[in-house]
Order: sequence, then structure tokens, then C-alpha cells
Amino acid sequence: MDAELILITIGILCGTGLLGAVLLFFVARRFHVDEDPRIDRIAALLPGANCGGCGLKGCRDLATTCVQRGNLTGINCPVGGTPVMKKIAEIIGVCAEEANPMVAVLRCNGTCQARPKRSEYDGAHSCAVMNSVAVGTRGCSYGCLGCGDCADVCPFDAIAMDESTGLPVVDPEKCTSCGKCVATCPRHLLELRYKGKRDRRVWVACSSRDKGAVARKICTNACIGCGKCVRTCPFEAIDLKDNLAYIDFEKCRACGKCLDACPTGAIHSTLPPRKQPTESVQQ
Amino acid sequence: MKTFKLGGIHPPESKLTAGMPIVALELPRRVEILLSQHIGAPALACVAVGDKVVRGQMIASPAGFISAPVHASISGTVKAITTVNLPSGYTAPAIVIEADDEQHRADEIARKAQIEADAKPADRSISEDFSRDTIRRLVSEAGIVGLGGATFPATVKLSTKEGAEPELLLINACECEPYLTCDDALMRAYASNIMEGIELMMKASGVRRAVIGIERNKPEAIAALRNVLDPTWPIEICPLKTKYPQGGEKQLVEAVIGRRIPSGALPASVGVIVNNVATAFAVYAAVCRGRALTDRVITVTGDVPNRGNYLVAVGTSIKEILGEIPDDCKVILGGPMMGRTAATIDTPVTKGTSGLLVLSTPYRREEQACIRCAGCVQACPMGLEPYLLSTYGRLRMWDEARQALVADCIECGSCSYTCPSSKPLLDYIRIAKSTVMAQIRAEKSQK
Amino acid sequence: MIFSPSPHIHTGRTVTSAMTHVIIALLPATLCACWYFGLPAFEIIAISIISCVLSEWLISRFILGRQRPEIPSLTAASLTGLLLALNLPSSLPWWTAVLGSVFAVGVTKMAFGGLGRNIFNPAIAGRVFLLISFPALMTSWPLPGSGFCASPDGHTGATILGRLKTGDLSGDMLSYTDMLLGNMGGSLGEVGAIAIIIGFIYLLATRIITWHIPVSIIATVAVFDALVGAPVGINLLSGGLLLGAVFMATDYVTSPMTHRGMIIYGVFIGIITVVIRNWGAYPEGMSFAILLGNAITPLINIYVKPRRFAARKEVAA
Repeated sequence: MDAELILITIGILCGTGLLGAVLLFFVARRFHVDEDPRIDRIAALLPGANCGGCGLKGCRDLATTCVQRGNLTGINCPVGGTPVMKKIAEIIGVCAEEANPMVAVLRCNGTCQARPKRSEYDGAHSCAVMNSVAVGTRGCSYGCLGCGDCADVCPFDAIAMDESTGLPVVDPEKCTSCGKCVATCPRHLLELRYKGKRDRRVWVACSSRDKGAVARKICTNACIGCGKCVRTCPFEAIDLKDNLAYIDFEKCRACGKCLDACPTGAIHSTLPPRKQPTESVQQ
Repeated sequence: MKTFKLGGIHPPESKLTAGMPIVALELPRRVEILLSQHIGAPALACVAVGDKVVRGQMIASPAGFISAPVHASISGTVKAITTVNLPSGYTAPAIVIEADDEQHRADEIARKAQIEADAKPADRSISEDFSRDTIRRLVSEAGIVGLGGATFPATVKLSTKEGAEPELLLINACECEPYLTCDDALMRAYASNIMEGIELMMKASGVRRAVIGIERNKPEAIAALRNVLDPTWPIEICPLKTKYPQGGEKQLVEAVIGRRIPSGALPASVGVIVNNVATAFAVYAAVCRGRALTDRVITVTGDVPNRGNYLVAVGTSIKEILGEIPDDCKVILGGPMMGRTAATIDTPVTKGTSGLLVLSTPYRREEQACIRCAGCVQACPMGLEPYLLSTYGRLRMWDEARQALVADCIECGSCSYTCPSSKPLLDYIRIAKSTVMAQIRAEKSQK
Repeated sequence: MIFSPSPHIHTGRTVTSAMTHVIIALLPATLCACWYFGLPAFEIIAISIISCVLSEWLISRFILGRQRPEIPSLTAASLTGLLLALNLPSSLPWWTAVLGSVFAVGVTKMAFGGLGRNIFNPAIAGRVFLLISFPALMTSWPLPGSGFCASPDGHTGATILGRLKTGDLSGDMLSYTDMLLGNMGGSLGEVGAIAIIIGFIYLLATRIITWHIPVSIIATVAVFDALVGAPVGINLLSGGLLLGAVFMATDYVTSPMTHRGMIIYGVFIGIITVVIRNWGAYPEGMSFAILLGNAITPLINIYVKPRRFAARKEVAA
């Protein structure tokens, strides 16, 4: 092979490359779209999971919306939380709203022990499907179906199905309160609640609106609507409606008095165990 | 021989109870009558606990135009107005009636007389006296709903606008579901009464011509209908090639008149109203005999000792009809293709219950990977791509599902039936369809 | 009580049964191969089936970590093995067949996620891999003997397509009877036209495949060959055309979903085959044509939709 050929080859290749570069340069100039540089900066701050937890189409959409509106009212990235929102506020030049960090909790306590199986299901492994066919294998028309649709949709791997109880478990460390599971659960059993001071929160882990006796028959851990917790609560945070107690997380101070009052152990908490253990009363 | 063109399957017919006569089951002592046995607004109870009611008395009145009244199916005392189990295990409001011995005996005698009267050929002179409005009123008051399973109030279909009547009344006598034979039994026993019912329906809706679409796997029923058919009547019998889902409204219309109903439209858009053959019989009973819809014929079939076609009072407990059922059985209300399983059999028969099918060794799915055999695409009678729709449903890609026409699915189950990988195709499609339909409704109501 | 969404009955047809039917349909061709090429043919078939099944199992067990062997996948793998063997000459050394099998199952199928997820037909891909890697071994075909124990007589020769290519049609030209019965040189399974047609009829009768793909391929090749003036009869009856059209192109996973799509796919394969046979470097183009057909299948699936029941009236209107 002679040197000339090699040189020609190199020359042609380099020339083609150069030509392409020049072309690209002019094309980029010609078709340049002016975009607020702040959008890129905000988008870089966001987690980039595109979970839709903010209610917008994704992280970039949130960034664009922030910049276009010029303020942050009603916009919150639940994943990034307050630190990210503060940084975004700095970029836009406004004050960030203080958002209380939230976490998803399961409002069902119907473990395998509390609700034995009554029938067999043979269909697609999906809560949505099972819910449309019947009440579920455990006979409760309000409780968890146990197929794990919530775990499937969680973009952060924060929900796992517990084999022993048949219920999903939310990992509060991983949960970003994006709300996908809340929207997915066909029985609306997951709820976003305040994480609480020092990570302390109390909630009613049951959604059954059946009358007490009926609910009890189906599930030993059910809320039977007795109202003891309502009377016990010093902050009037508990409300009883349709045979079901509900703790308002804005009022709740996580004192834990209702835990002792509940006869079925339907109230759950993240409080540290106390002298008198508050295990569920089994009958 | 006519049939519909696209897709379709040939499941084994398994008509175990074919040829069996209709047997009147003894009236129960206790009935639970649901307030919502039809599509539309649930009826409103118009009796109170402790009231004495007689068989055929209206106990709940319709709540709106698309609604239907509900009648007592036995004489007795209203014991409670409470919630009872649906087959799914969810609950719904119902009126509970209990009869004492005397009431029970009187009811039995009255019913026997009715059955004997029905057995005689219909007296054709009766119907001539009724005007269009009278028939509609009587049908409405009798609480008649579509008895094929859709339970759409019959009067709504019959209330055509004057001057814009459809051309054709299509009577659906396909009974394309395997196992079920209740319509077949009805046609064999009451052919002349059914003809009379059809005439009444034509008169009520102002339709000039009627066709009975019937699959050719029911030769006795076809013969019985031919037997009573007067060639001067504008009624025609159209035997069809047996293929599932011929009983689907869209498929039946295509099979008989060769025209396709556009997607999202009613049969009226091609000038047809479709009614089930059992509905025609109910119309006859309501108008000529003044009887409310309190009994219906159901097929009890599958792995049970007491197979047969039974005349059953609405509100009878399914447990009472079937007896004890072992735990590893499937009880299906309706046919095996579209029927719903019962999670509990402690639940009443409704106007829409066409059969009780017990499968003692039900087929269990062992799902495998899709091998893209295209079986579902070729089986789909609507020309959809079930494999794609099902995937969209599973992954919650509602917009894509809507683009792929999920709203056209008729939920016939041909895809799941065919799938060699036993994929629960229809399960996910149904979820996608209901989500998309909700979206469409929301958009419509916004406008 | 057991509850489930409808439907509650099923055809009873499974992936395994479908694959088994295809294997049964291949038996005439397999017997034919054993008759003409004797023991070596049997060896090649056994080796490729065993190595396909083994690689499938090893990969799913140790790489994908699936605990239980899945019967449908293993049946599919044995079908792949059989098809691959029928596409090889009987004089091939055993290790080449093993290599082809591992490529077919490991690279073309399991790397994409296993049964149902592959883009290309594994057997064809395996054959093409060997053809490109070992062209000499893959293009010397022993001449057929007869009887199951016939040892190959050591003569090797080009196939009739190869001779067509080089224009060497002189000498003992094969009769159509020989071609129909398979009395000619070639890969194991592609020689007996009648045996393949019997298999085709079986597949149609059991409704495993529809006529669309094979018929459109064969018709296209016939018409196109006639147009360009190539000998139609020889082109149809020799080489891998029949075997490919009936058994390889109809592979469920890699062929289109709608009948119209299948016809487009078939015509495409037919045209490419004729183009390669007449103007390409290789005497035989069926395998390449099928691979290209596989490649356009997703595109066909996107653009060719089934005939809808009714034209859509705008629902949102």
C-alpha cells in the first residue's frame, strides 16, 4: 500500500467530517429555539423520575410551568420536597411555600390471620381486575385485595408485598408521596398523610364502612365504629362517619391515646412501643 | 347459511339440558328481591316492613325513564328492606318477603293455572284491541327488561318516535353461549305465545317487519316456530350458522341484514331494534295475561344432579336451587363465555339470570409468555388486536388503548378462549375499556 | 367457591401442543432426511436438538435464574433444534451443529428475553450464522444414498441451485420426480418436497397455521421467477424454499399478526428470495429473505391493522 492512498483516505475522511461539522453548525444556528435557560436549571434540580406526582406531565413540564407562571403557587414536587422547591424558588426569585412532607399509609389491616380466605380467585393478577369481579378472596368489600397493583406502579420501589400478611408495606424512607399508588388502588386504601414531627404519625388502618358486627365477622382487625377513640382524643382530631373512624392528620398530635382505646387494634402508629404494648386484641 | 364475517369461535356447545322441558320449581317461602335488576336507576321501594303483599304486586316503582318497577314474586309479608349479597359478594338493597303456608298454597295453585293457560296456543284476537300506548304502558308496568342478560328496560327500546320508526324488529334467539338452553326450551314450549309477543312488540314500536335470528343448532325450536308461523304474517325465521358470539347485538344484526352498526352507535342507527326471545314471551304474558315479570326460565346445568330448565321465581336464593356446592367449584351466572362467577351463592336470582352453570373442575389458567400466534386477532369479532389492548390495559396506557379502539370491545371473551398461552387477555382489556369509557363519558358531559 | 372473570372455558390448546404439532408435521421431512443421508443425518438432528434444549435450560436456570424448567420453552427449543438440523448439510462436523444451536437459542432467543420475545427466527439465524462463519463446510453437500443405514458415499457436490447459479446445467440434470421425492443433494430437510407438503397439509388441518404466508411466498417466487425468466419449477422444488415457506416463515413469534400483514410479509420474502437467487452472491436466499421479513414484521404490525368491524364514528364528537 502506498502512502499516497493512505493520505487520500485520511484527507477524504477528515474533509467529510469537517463538512458535516460545518453543516451541523449552521443547521443548529438556523433552527435554534430560544428557551428560558432557567428551565434547564430547574429541570436539573428535579429528580427526573417523571412520576407525575406534581400533577404535571413530568419533571420538564414542571420546570416549564414554574418559569411560565413566574410563581410557585400550587406547584410542589413531592419527591424533591421542600429543599428542591426552595432552590427552584431561588431561581425564579420568589419565596417557596412550606410543604409538609407526606408519606403514603395503608388504611387496611386485614392480614391473612385476621381475614382468612373464603374463596379462590383465578384470573389476572391485578387488584383492578379482582375488584371488578368480586369482593376478593377474603370477603371484605373495602379492604386490600393483595395483588399488589400499588407495588407495581410505585416508581420508587417503596412498596413491597409482605408475604406473611398479604398486605403491601410502604417504606417511608423511599416513599416520595408522589401519589401514584393512591390513584391506582381500586379501593382507595392508600392515603397521603403528613410524615409528622420526628416521623411520628397515627392513622386508622381500616376502611370498612360495614356495621361493627358485620365488619368484625369479616376481619378481626376491622374498625367497628365504636367511637372510643373519638371520645379519647384530646384534640378532637378523630371523626366517626359511616361506622369508620378517621384521624385528621392536620389536627393529630400523635399522642397515642387512641391506640390504647381501640378495642380491635385498628389504629396503627409509628410511635415507639410503650410500657403497655398496644398489640391488637385478638378474640 | 348466514353468519357474521369477522372472527368468532366454535366452543363445544355442551347443551346438556337440550330437549328438557321447562319444569316449574316450587315457589320459595322467602325471596330477596333486589331493587336494581336492570340497567338504569334502581327502583324505589313503595312498601314498608310489615306490609302484606300479593304475588305480582308492584313493590318498588321506577325512578326515572331508564328504570323499571319491581314486583313481589310470592305473596307474603315484607320482612325487611335491607342489603343482601350480590353474587360478587358486594351488597345491594333488596326487599325480603316471607310467605306463610296458606299464602304459599294459594300462590302455587294460581301459578299452576297460569302455566296451563300459557300452554294453550295464544288467542290472537286479544292483542288486536290494544293500542300502541297501552302496550307500552303494560310492558312498562310489568317491569320487563331485556332477558338476554343486558337487562335494559324493554319499554325504552319500544318507545320509538312516531314517524321515525325502525324498519325491523330483530328477535335474538341465538343463545350462542354454550350450555344455556333456556331460550331453546321456551321456544319449544311457547312458540305461539312468543309469536304473539313479537306481534305486540311490533305494534308497540311501530315496526313493520320482524326477523327471528336463531342458530341452526336448535332444530326443534326452529320447527316449533315454523309450525305456528302463518305465512301472511310479516315475521320471518332466519336460521344462522352456529358461531360464537352470534348473540352479540352487532354480530346478529350483521348476520341477519348484512349491515354493520357503526362503533359507538345503537342498532337503531341501521334501522333495527333487537330484543331477546324471552323478552317477547314476557311481553305476551304482560299484555295478554296481565302478568308482571316475577318468574323467569333459567337453565341449571354443569356438574349438578338436578340439571334442567326451570321456571323460577325472581328472588329465589341460588343456594336453594343448587343445594350445597363443594368449595372447589365455580358457579357461573349465565353462560361460560360471558357469565359472571359467584363468590357466594347466598344470593337471589334476578331478572337477568339466564342460567346457573356449575363447573366442578374449572379450567385454571397457567399463564405463559405470548408467542404472538395471532389467534386472538383472528378470533376477535370486532376486528381488534386483543394482545395489544391487553398489554395497554396491564401497563395502564389508557390513551394508547383508546387509540387502538378499546371502546369497541364487546367483551365476548373469544380472545381469552383462544389464547394458547392462557393469557387473561380480556381481564385487562375490560379494565382498559371501563377506564376509557369513563373518560369518554366525562368528556361528553363537559361539552 | 372459585371466582374469576369470564370466559370460564378454554380451547385447551397450549403453546406446547402447538409446538408439538409442528414437530409432528416435520416428521415426514425428518424421515426423508434420514433415508437419504443415513446415520450422519440422524446424528446431526440429535445433536442439534439436544444442544438447543440444553442451552435453553442452562440459560434459563443459571442466567435468568428461573427455578423450574418451562415445558413450552423447552418444546420450542427442541423445535428450533430440529429446524436448525434440517437446514444443515449432513456432512457437518458435530461441533458446528452445537455452535449453531447455542447461537440460535442463546443469542437470537434468550438474549431477547426468551420464548415469544425474539425478533428473528432462531433456527434461521443459527443457520445464517454458520453459513457466514463456515461457508465451506456449509456449502458442501453429500449426495443422497438410500436406506436408513446408507453411509454417505463421500461424493459431495453443489446443489441444483448452485449449479443453476454457475450455469452448469449440463450433465445429469435432475428430474422433477427426483426433486419431489428428495433424491438430490442439499440440506437435510429441504430435499423432500412431498414430505414438506404433507407437513403443510397437516399444519393446515390442525389449524396451527393459515395458508397466507406459505402460499404468498410460493406464489410470489413463481410469478417473479417467471417474469425474470428463471426456471420456475426448479426454483420452487429445490433449495430451502418449501421448508422455509412452510415451517420457518410461519413461525408465530416472528411473523405478522394479521392476514393482510402475512400476505405482505410473504410477498416480501418471495421477492427477496428471487432477488438473491438470481442476482446475489449466494445461490440460496431463503434464509436471508426470512430474516429480512422478520425484521420488517414489527413495522407491518404497526401499519397493517386487522379489518375493523365498522368504520369509526368519532366518539368524542
